[in-house]
Amino acid sequence: MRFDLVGAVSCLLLICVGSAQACGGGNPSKAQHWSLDAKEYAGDAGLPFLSPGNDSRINLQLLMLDMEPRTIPTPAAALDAARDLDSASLFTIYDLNTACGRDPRAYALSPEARLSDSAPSLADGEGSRCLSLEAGKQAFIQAVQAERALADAERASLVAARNRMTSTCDDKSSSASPFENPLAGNAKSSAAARDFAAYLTGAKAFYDGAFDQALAQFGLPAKSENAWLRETARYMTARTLLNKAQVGAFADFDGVPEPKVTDRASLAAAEAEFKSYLAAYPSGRYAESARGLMRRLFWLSGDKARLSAEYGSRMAQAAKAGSNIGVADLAQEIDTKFISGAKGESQEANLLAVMDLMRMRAEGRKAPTFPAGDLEGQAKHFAGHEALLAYLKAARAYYVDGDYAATLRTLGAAAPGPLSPPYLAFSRETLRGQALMASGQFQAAAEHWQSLLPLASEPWQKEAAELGLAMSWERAGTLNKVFLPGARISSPRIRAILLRHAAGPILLRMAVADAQSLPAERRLARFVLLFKEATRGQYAGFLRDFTAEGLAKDDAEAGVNSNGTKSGIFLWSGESEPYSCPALKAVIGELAANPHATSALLCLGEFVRTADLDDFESDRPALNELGGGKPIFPGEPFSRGEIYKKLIADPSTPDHDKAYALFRAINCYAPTGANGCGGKDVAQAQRKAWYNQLKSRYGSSSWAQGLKYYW
Amino acid sequence: MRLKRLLLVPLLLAGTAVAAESFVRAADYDSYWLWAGVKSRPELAKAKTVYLLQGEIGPDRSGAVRLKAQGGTEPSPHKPALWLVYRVRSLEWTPEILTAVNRRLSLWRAQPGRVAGVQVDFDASTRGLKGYAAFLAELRKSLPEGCALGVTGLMDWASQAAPEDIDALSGTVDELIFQTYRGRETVSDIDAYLARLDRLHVPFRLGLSEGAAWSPPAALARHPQFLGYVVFLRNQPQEPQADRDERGAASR
Repeated sequence: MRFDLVGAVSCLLLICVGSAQACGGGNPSKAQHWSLDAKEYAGDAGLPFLSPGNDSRINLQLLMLDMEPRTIPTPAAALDAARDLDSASLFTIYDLNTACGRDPRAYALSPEARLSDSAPSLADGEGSRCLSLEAGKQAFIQAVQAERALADAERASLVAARNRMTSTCDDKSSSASPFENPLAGNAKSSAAARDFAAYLTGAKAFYDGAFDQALAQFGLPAKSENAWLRETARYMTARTLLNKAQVGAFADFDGVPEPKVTDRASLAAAEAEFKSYLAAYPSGRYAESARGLMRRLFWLSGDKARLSAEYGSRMAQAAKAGSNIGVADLAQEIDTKFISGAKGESQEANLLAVMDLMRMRAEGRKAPTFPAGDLEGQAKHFAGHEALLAYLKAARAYYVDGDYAATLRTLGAAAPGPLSPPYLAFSRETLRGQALMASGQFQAAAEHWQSLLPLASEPWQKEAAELGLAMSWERAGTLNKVFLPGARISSPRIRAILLRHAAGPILLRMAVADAQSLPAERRLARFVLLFKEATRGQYAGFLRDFTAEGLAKDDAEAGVNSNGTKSGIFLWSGESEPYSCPALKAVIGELAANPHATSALLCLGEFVRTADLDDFESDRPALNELGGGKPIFPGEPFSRGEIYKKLIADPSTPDHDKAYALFRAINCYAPTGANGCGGKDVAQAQRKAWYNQLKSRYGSSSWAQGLKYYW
Repeated sequence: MRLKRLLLVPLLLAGTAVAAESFVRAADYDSYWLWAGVKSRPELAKAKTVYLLQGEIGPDRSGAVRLKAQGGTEPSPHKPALWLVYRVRSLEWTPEILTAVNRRLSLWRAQPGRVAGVQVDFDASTRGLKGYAAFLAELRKSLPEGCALGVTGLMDWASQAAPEDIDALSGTVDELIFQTYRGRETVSDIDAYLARLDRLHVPFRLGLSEGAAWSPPAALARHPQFLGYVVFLRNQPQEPQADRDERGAASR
């Protein structure tokens, strides 16, 4: 369940207006923020354990998977994503939906194909009572053909009438078949024929939305000698009453589906009819549908207690093979129909757990408020689910109180043996690792993650444990273990984030040389190594590590990455305009000989500017995120802004170079007044002073002459 | 004063006294956007115009472009004039999507109350405006007679796009609503954006975000193409806000 209207919900609500690149994610300056601590709602991004940040639909699915021990395969698309070094998260809710059996292509199927597996379109709000218009035809014709009591002519008339029957389904602009007597032309019809004809007239009225007419017709076939008619007419009577009850229930302008039923009498009658149908046909043709419509009835009547009880029992069924509603679709339904409007009406442990986790979420700077007493008060509903309650208590201590010692105390000792049930037990052990890390026990945490690794068997769990292990090593000052043979972290995504943000020159060089590195990983390592060496004053290192062949090979082998950065940019051949520069390697060579060479410093700036790398180090992982530990690479992040300021302030800077530094410094604030060069922002008065200085002292330079504004 | 801005601020704002900053209150306006997840409000029944989200059109995880219904209102009798809004992430519409949009329109038109048209909420980049105009021209052809076509627009169009690119939408689009906000807040350089709207030949409205700071430039009211404001409603902060992707109100 999302609580966030500001997020990636809408273009109308766009946060980054206009800049297609920033919105599209193809931005090399955007860091990946990987963490086990999802304290706020994380949107599509998921963690493979119960977590407040998980969308409630993720937590619901994990709980359902625990109820029916079966292993779900990691979907192929997610495995591909696992090799995408730029992934924003371990997995997304869509990956999990797919793993839980929702066919991602179901939506692309033809309407006919969709009918046979209608759950996805229903769950996506695209269903209507006319969903059964086509499938119902086949069933009707089969029943007519099987009925011996019908004369051949009657049979032919009924089949033809059903074949002719179409419905507007409320769309008054479309043409539909008119009401007709299916037996017109048959002089004296049999009782069976009259029953079928009445049913057909009723069905037509039902699809056309004439519910009272439909009800009047279904009475006769409900007492028919024909078993199919008897059962179907009773089911249709209940269904018609339900549809009648909800007329106008969604008439108010509302962005949230909240039914407002006025026809309570029809709703009560529908319930009685469904119950009587289910009593007569507990495993009838329409029993599953009737049970599903009972859920809808509870929802329409606002009966949260019965709705929640029904969801509680459905959840236990959903993961079973052959369930008529899948785990992903049921999670979606529960979220839409119950959790979004619930105010503590549930007595179902699993639903309570999901809502409790939502209460543990922080919202921006607003810390969660969820007193321990509230959770204690739910204890009676957790009979038989004690382990789940125990986890929630420990999680509450961690996420709400930030009391890590209490978290560890509440968790108690780890149970030996395999993780059971797989997601709850993994959640418990992940929380233990999180609490150890949060309390600074990185060595103990690393040992804990290492012992958890062989037990993690469900999709994404191993990578989650590796995430904990890598973060613990990073914070314990033993980042190198991530890359060492024997201990090496197997997730390329985790290694990549560390290479990008945490690794120093030695680890980066190792990753370049390591035959086990993926091509994309090797390219990333060399890219980061050369960029940081060039911009942090490690000029000799740059000259040693620079190889034109290596750079070309990286791009050839790694292909296109999703953020579009290419190692070929280091083969920059310099420029003649607007400022004359040799190739990058020569620039660094000059700086290696004289780190203060003004023209070489300006050219380094030109390289960064033209390669659009000003922001390469501007977004860093936070302290509790992977790669957010103390950076090892020597030196400070580079900014052109500071270089220009230094050259402007230095009286020994040659005129030509000072003029260009002024020109560029002023342009740092084009076109909106926002600083695009990094470094400390300067006030507009300073920009004005630069502008005046350029115009007066260096007025004859082409840069001064071409510049009309400051910003 | 920044030099560039001075050059860009022509007639529109010249001489207008800027009113004291105030905040957008829904009750002060008569036209609203109602997005999925935003709860029903008394203002809506009395509104002059309601822009009602109907669904999202975009690629699913398999890459197939499809329509996913959103919102909690089924076609019913209504007093306000209605725009059926689609949030659009892909312009590669299948014939099925066009059929579904037309069918929904037809269901609404069958109910008492005026349906003004269909609005497309698509984040066209400034550079992509020409292709977008072509898409809209095609869409227009497939909509029935008497159905207007509207689009939302980004303030960036006003500042960065060539006027002729925006004007390429005129004739195809009956109205354009510029969003004055980013997230919950009015964009900081709104005056500079607004100043450029005076070159526009397409009828437009301004979309405001409920609760955001807003000082109406008086000269705007005199703009020949300015049709008024539309307020993007938000849930009251004390209420739990649930964003529902799903309409979930489908009748069976």
